[in-house]
Amino acid sequence: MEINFNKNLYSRQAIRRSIKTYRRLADFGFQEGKNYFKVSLKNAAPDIEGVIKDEFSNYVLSLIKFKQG
Amino acid sequence: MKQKINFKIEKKEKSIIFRLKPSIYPLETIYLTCYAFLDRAYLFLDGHPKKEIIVRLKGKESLSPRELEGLAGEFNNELLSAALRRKISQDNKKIREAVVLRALASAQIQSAAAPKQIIPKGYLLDDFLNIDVSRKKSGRKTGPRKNK
Repeated sequence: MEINFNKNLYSRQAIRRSIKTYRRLADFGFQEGKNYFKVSLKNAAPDIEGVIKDEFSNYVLSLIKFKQG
Repeated sequence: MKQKINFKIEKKEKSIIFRLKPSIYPLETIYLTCYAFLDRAYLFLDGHPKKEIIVRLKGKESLSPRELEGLAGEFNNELLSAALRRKISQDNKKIREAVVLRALASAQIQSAAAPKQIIPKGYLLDDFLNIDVSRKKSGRKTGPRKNK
């Protein structure tokens, strides 16, 4: 399972921190492409396999910091 | 009048795809809106922050097409609300900063003007109100009263 995070919209720091938080739930891999951060997910527990991708993406989104007006 | 819709419902995936123009909804507004939906839906962003931002929204529970349409409407409402909050925040930025600056400056002036109260040695033991002197003048004995 692979998730591609757009480099213009997601931060490396948010993804790294999320992997650190989720590392006990699955085996994560991180690669940096030209336009995307590629996160691979393996060996997730069967009961969370269906939701871990989406939950992980939501968690990354929640960690993004941006400058508010 | 034909209404232009900014989203598409994917029935098979049970998700909604929004295509948003950053010129109308800036990236910060989209982030804020997404945060508001994090507990109810799965969100994923793609696209280009200056051309077009794509938001994929999927309900955490299985939603019917009608419910998805309702969720899309709520998302659009939240987008408008976040955009308005951002605009008000930007408009009031200078006033906010001025108020904080003034409050800080006045607090600094007050603390600088207040004399430093250094308690001299034995100050609390001294009879600084001259209570003992007035008692002596009136002829009353000092010291604790004796119970009769």
